[in-house]
Amino acid sequence: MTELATENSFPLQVIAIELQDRPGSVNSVAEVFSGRGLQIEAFHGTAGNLSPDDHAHALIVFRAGADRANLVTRVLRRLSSVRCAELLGDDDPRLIESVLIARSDTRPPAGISVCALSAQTALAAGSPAALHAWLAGDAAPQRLGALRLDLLLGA
Amino acid sequence: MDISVIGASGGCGREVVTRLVSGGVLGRRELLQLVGGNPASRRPSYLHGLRADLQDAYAENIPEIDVTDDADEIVGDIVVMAAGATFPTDSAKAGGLQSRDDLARTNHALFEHFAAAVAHNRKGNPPVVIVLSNPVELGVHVFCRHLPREYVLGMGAFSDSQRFRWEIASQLGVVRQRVHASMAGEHGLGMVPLWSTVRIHGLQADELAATIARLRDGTVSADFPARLAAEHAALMAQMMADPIDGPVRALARVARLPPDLRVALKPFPVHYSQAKTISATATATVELVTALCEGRAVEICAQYQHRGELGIHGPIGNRLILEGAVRRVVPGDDLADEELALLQACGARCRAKIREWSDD
Repeated sequence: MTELATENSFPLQVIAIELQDRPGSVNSVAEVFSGRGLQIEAFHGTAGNLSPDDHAHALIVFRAGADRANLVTRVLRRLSSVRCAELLGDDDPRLIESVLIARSDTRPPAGISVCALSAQTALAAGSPAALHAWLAGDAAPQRLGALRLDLLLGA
Repeated sequence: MDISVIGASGGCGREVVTRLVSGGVLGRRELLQLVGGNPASRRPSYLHGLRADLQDAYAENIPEIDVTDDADEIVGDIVVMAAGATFPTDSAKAGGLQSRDDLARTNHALFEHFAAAVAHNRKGNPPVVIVLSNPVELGVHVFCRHLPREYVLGMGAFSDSQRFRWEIASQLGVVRQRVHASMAGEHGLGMVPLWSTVRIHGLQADELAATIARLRDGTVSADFPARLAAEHAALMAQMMADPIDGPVRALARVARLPPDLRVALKPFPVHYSQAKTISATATATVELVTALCEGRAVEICAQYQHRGELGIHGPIGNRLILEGAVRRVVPGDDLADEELALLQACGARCRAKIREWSDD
């Protein structure tokens, strides 16, 4: 892993892509990042049969400056395995982040919804900024899983 | 590295693309972008067909191939500029279009169009641009108005230097790999042979000096421009007088000249034979692209926008140290005074022409 790849002073970037639903698509996308020394911090992908619009989608989270993030997005758009690619701002209202937490009586802050799943677990969801602020604060809940990013389709 | 070839449907562009793929220069997941150079092309499907043909031919190890006609979609880390008009290959018409000025008027807008688009989309992360189109000096100048000059190279002097090495090697009966030599200056009739840079592997200093003297046959650098102009005029007259057999006779005439004149003159009968100089140009281009892809530090001779180096101003061919981009111009302390003077005069002449062509 390169120093460039682990550099965390760059802002978080999110690219939403719609993929051709075929073997090798994710590989070709990943090469665009690894070939430039960029580490993918999160990759949330689904095949078409799991998506409401029947298209394969992926959300990719990585750290990079604006110029490199733009270039990566433009290169992704030119791949035969990618139908479209969009660089999203982290305040994009279509982005929803969620995480499994330990169920408690603590009220979540504004902008975060909590849904009980069992006697011990709940799912917290909201905008990435609001969820990150809650998880980093003094009143943070106990996390039971990894952060999961999603994009509202058709919103 | 991703590579974009602008003008990939032209003779030279297609040859470059084919050699990049057949030579395995790019990995399977790297992008080779075929960019149409003419939005009003009468063959809009050509590049899509070329992509399919390349995939059929080289399926075992083929990069990702993209096709676009939109300059704003160019994403290559290396951009090969091969689009634009060129001289007709009919020697009967050569008299009406033998000036690089004619090409300049035609290709200036195209250079400007692609240079502006590439620079607009790659402000903080410029690609290396290799200009093949002519006049290569104008192409380098226009791209340097939009991109840092360290990222812009012209292929003319690179391929001329390869030819110079071959002309020396073939006369001595050795392989080209044993000969080092640079042909600088303006591509075409303004080139400057740098005999001071000639080295032949295996020859010691006194043997080398004697060999060079024999090759030059009593000629001196200061007389080269005048000899070249006179021989060029005679050559063109010969070809225009006999469009069918003229190029063959012209090749025979060129073969009797010293190596430096052969370098400058042989491309004319080759072009008007209708074979054109595609293979030599494409091979040299791929060699340069390969050096860039491998990240090697190499000395090359190519057109570069000088800003006072060696007393030269303007986009002429010279020796450069290339390491991802141009690191520096090779110091000229090994050059003869008259070679340096020819380079400086060439730079001044190029600048004057570019002012005329582009109103700069």
